[in-house]
Amino acid sequence: MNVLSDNSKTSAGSKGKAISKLYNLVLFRTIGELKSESTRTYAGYLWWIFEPLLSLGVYYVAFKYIFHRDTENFAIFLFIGIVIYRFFSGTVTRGASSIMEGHGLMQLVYFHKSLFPLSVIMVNLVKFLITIFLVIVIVTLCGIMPTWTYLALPVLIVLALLVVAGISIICAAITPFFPDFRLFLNTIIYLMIFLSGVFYDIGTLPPKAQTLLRLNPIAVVIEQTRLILLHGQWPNFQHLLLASAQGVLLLIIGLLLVHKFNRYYPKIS
Amino acid sequence: MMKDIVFDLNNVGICYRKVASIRWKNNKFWALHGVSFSVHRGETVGIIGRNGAGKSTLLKILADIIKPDTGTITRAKISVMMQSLGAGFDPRLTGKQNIFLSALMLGMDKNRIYFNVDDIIALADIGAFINEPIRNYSIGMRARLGFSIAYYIDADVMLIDEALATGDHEFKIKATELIKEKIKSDHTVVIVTHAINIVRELCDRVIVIEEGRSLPEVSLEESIEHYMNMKKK
Repeated sequence: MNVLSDNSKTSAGSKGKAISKLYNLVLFRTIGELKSESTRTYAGYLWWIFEPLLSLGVYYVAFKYIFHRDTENFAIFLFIGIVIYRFFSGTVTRGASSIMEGHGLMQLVYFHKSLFPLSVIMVNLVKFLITIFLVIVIVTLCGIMPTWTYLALPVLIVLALLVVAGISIICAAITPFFPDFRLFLNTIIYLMIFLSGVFYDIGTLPPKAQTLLRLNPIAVVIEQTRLILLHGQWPNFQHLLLASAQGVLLLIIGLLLVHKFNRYYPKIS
Repeated sequence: MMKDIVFDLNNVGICYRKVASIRWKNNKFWALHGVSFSVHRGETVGIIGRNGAGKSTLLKILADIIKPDTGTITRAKISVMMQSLGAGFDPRLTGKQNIFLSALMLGMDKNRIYFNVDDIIALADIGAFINEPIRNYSIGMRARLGFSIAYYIDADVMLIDEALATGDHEFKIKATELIKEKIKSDHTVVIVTHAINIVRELCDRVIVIEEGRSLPEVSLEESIEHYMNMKKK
């Protein structure tokens, strides 16, 4: 028996084709999601700006008037932390359930299951970029002028993306096996906001605590972004290197996990 | 000389596990065990069997959606499409936007979609609704769009689960004729169905699945007769 083989399609060619299909699907789903999300509410796209501003308002009132925090430029300080943390928490929460929610679709057609978390990540990245731009506008309006250190911002954005994508994909890979994991995850995300230096400056803590907290790459991103935007200083190369290594590692683990169970997820009921 | 083989299944078994079940024992379920048959290029093969016999699971293996837990499947390097009408539709997006999403999902490449989009819209024939979000569609309109997209996907192998076409009466007749034409051309087709008349009209061979096993292959009429007797029990 000779199993038919088509010589025109090498295995490298079909791999390239699979990646281009995934790329296009992520692109179209992201654009579609952004479009449809904006038609769901009256204010539409404006919510991408209102939402982070509203949560800034809540935290600002709490810390300024209840806990009497009086750091210089506290509102901006807080806003930078909130914007980055929201990118993390929003993407991980939505991403974690993404493969599980795609259960119906994956019964009908084959595609790489990383499509689900990747689309969530891209949608949230777009919103994150918009809010980062908003932060820069507000910083400038408050009289802190842009400096050359802004050139390091793209590096920090890529770093944030790596870490957030890695964690989201890992969570997405695990959740179909343990649906209860999502509830557990909510608690972790709640806890992490206090370990990421959103409300305080890690640099003011005892040295030992600083080292420990900087093991959290989100804390590093927040701290280094503040250095750039508030103080016009270049970020600490060593901290960035460690966080990038963590990000790359998380991303690789996540993609490997999804790839391993790629054809197993449709069987989970 | 034998014709080229597209699929060759050897003792294939599929086991589903229930996640989040409290009882650890007995959460395994063998949907298929011991399925062997092969499909040659250009053939139309029918798969019949009672409800729950594992026919749809079998199609998922052929579509490469899941991998068998036991046994082997050898597949030729061909493109396979399951006739999944409306796969990947987002109800909040317009019909036109959904053509791109669904066709990409079903394996059409981007440039081909741009090339075919007007033909797809013409076949669906839903007028100005094509620029409306599909949550506003009737079930019939949604079926028209889904069918039209699937019709323009050019895969070497077509896998069809149950219905040849869906939608309102008028469209169903037109769509059924179109798909029959496609099946009768040199496409390789595997159809899961309950309709004996479809088997008689379209299939070259038929495989009977009973309780997760494939029965030894006999002639088309004998298989149909066996299936009819089985259903009576």
